Amino acid sequence: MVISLMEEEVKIDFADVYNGCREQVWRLASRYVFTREDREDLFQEIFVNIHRALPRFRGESSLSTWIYRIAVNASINHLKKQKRHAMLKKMLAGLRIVEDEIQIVETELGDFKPLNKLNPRQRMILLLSDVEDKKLEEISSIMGLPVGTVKSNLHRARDIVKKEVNGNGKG
Amino acid sequence: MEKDKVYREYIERIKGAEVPLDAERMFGRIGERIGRRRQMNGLTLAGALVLIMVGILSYSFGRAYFPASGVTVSEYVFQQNESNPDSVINYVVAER
Repeated sequence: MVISLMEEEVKIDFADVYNGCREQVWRLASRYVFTREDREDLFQEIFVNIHRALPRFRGESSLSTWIYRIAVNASINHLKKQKRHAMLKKMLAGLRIVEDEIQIVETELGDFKPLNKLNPRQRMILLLSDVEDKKLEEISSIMGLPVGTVKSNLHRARDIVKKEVNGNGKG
Repeated sequence: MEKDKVYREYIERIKGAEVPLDAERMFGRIGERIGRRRQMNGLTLAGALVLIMVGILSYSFGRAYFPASGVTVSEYVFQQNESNPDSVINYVVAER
């Protein structure tokens, strides 16, 4: 697919976008969700969204920031949807069964278990800041949040993860 | 601080936990998903058009074969009861 941008007459090929940023998107997706199915599902969803939004890309921000923005939104929505499904499952299946399931999933998480304690936004901010080494201003621009909000979420997220990795977490 | 050290080590482990990407297979899957989404959009549009057509045809058929059917319109006239000025009598004078 080739898209011509009116303002700059730049042609963007979807396959080029995919080849150019697939590793970056995969890294983000594979650290944000933890099972193979989820990673692949999220990765595909991000690129479907990129494909849909590409004709509207006007070059106001760099392509990389724009892609990150789509990836971040898709990831947060993916996790929220997953949590809604889990709640529905809980309601339908009964508390005891689901608690057992959660126990099984948590044992499979391994190193990702502390990250699983964070809400979708905190998890993303922590990953972008401490794992992807992005600056607060950049995260603020990617996520469309004020720098202060990013900072407070990051602080809270670090506290939670520190407690978990030091063995003081409740769960 | 010990807590911070453990945290930094943990973050390094997360950074190092690379999962290989099967780029070709994923690109194929993305293509399939885009195709499915287009198909769904087409079906939704076609479904909406069919519903609109059925609506128009039903309405036309109804008007053509049952011209008298429709909403019954009643006209009421309120008249003062001469023997008892505080009450009113109402009755239907026309119905179509």
